This record gives sequence, structure tokens and C-alpha cells, in this order.
Amino acid sequence: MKASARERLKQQRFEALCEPCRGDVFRFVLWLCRSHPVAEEVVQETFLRAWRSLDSLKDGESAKSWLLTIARREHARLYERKRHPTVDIDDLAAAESGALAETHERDPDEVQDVRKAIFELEPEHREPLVLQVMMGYSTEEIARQLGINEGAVSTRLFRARNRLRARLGLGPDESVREDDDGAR
Amino acid sequence: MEHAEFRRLFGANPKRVEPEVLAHRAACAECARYAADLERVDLMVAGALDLPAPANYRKPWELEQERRSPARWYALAASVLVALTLAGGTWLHLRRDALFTELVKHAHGERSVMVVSDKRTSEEKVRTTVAKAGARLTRLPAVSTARTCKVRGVVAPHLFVQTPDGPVQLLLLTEHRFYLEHSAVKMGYHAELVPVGAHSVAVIGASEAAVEQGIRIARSSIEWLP
Repeated sequence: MKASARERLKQQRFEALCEPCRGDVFRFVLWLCRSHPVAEEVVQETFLRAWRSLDSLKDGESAKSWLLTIARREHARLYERKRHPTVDIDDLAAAESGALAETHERDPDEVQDVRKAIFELEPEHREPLVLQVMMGYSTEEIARQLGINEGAVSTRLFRARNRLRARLGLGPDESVREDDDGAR
Repeated sequence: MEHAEFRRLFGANPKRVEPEVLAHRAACAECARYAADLERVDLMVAGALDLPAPANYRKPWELEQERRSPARWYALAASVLVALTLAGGTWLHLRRDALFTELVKHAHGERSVMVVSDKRTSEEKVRTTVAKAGARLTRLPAVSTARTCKVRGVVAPHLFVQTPDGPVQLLLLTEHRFYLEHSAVKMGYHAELVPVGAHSVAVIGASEAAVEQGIRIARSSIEWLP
């Protein structure tokens, strides 16, 4: 079926605004759900939903955060609809490292260790870290995306980095000391 | 700046460039090591997160088109079909039920002749009665009474036939056609609508066995004329 001129314009707008964000949306969802097939499904549904409501995207600059918001909702909706099998973190990290090793010149063992450490983080720590390191979001933007205040975002990021630092054998987890001090 | 404050600020964002943060890092060797560790963590994380987007992705408008097309229409068509079938089935059932009521009431009005009897109507009368419905008999059953009445304004000859299980009434219905047999029990009578050739015959009796006999007789002896 041939697309009408209006439909073609909409497709062009979608391609220009949303398509460049697809990689980031996929990576964000993958680190959120820790499963490659689930991430693919979530991204597909996210883009379908975005296509249907493209008219509501007024500011092209905010396309990525708009897509990430839809992706978070889609991810939550998917988990409401069906339970996915639990994935063993070692297997998952190894599988994803395999994919990365093909395209990057990095030590696959190190990559696997880092991925395993990221997967082991609590979701509340993992998500802001992904948004900051991968998407380059500011604390304020992350706070808006997650619907929490900036102070809470900073605390989560501080803990996420310190836990990773400890798990990767670079040094002690300073956030534990902070927590202990706070408890005293 | 305190060590703890530096670590909290730097831990939340290793790209901080405020002068006091940079100054503390330059002045404190331990915090500088900590900062370097976190920068390394960030580099490792960035590398680990960097995955290519999957190739098996479908354009959303193609996906939408696909989801909209056959499955949706099939679902819609199926719902309409189910609704029509239910409505049609209900309507036919009600219509048939009304006919049964009418026929049984009619039979009940003639209960005085639907009795066990040795009386036999002449072959000529039976054949004349049946001919009014455009039918003929291929063999003559034991008819005790032959009458012509009207059912819903249409001439409906009926024969009171004696069977080993009791008398039954056969009504020749030229205006009704059924593709299946339908039965009902009303007012103590067993009634059956039986498709015979291009038309139908209603068989009414006091017992199911008598009606069964009546159905066999109707099927084997009534023939519609062209």
C-alpha cells in the first residue's frame, strides 16, 4: 500500500527524530531488563507507541528522553503482562560480552567482569548510572526521568560507583562507610 | 573541602569541574586516587554498556500495518459472525417454539379423535385429504380420521394414524421447511417437526414411542407431488 504524502512526512519526521536514538534506547532497556530478546521486544513496542503518538512530541530536542520515558513504561507494562524466565547473571554477561568482543578491541574477560558487576547492582542504582554514563544525562535530567529529587539521584550514583569500584577490586566501598556513619 | 564531601560529590559525578573539587583533588593524594579509581570505573562501565542496536528491527508503520490488517479483520468478522449466529439461532428457536405451541394447541382441540380406535377412514377420503396439500400416499397407513384444517392460514391436512404405540396426528405443512428434526414437549404432548421431501410434517402424540412410529410412517408413505 502506498503511503500518503502526509504519512510520508510523518515517517520522515520519525526517522529524523527517533531513529538516531534507537541504539541508546536499546542499550538503556537492555541494562534495565538484562535480557537481549526482552530488550528487543521492548524497543519494538516503544517505537510503535512513539510512532502512534508522534504528534505529541512538540520539541524535537527532547526526543530521546521522550523515548526513554515510553521505554520505561513499556518495560514495566511488559513485566506486568508476563513473567520472564530468570537469567543467570554469569551466562548473560558472557553472552553479551561475546557480542561486544566482535565489535570492540577490549579484553573480553574484563568486559564480562564489568557487565556482571553492573548486572548485580540494584535496579535503583543501575538505572541512574546507565543514564549518566551512557546517555550523558545530568543529575537534574535523571531526577526528572526517574521522578525523584536530585539529592536521591546523587546518592544512588555515589553508591553505584562505589559498589562497582569494590566489586571490580579497585578499592573499598566508600558508600558502606557512609551508610555506617549515617547510622551512628 | 572535607574528604567525605569530595567523595560524595565526585562519586555522584566524576566529571565535576568546580574549582574547590579540583583543588581538593590536587591537594589530597588519597582522594586523587579515589577519583582516579572512579574515572576508571566510568570508563569500564562506558565500554561495557556500549552495545550495537539489534538489526532485526521493524519500522513501526510496517508493524502497525501488519497488526491492523488480517488479524483485526478476522477478529471483527468472527465477532459479527458469532453475533449473527446467536441472533439467528435465537430467532429461529423462538419462531419454531411458537409453531410448536400453535400445533399442540390445535391437536389438543382435537383430542376427542386422537384416541385408540378400530375405525378406518376410506382410502379415497384419505387420498383426497392428502392431495389438498399437494401430496400423495405411497402406501396407506391405518388412518382413523382424516381432516383438513388451517395452520397459520394455510391448508394443513391431517391424519389421525393408529400405531401399535397409540394414535398420532400427522399434519402436512406445505409452508414450513426444516432441515433437521426438532422436538418439543408441550401440554403433555410430544411433538416433532420432521423434514419430508421439500416440505415438513408435524407428528404429535401422547407418547414418544407413538411419535417415533408416526415419524416412520410419515417418511415412508408421504410424497409431495411436483
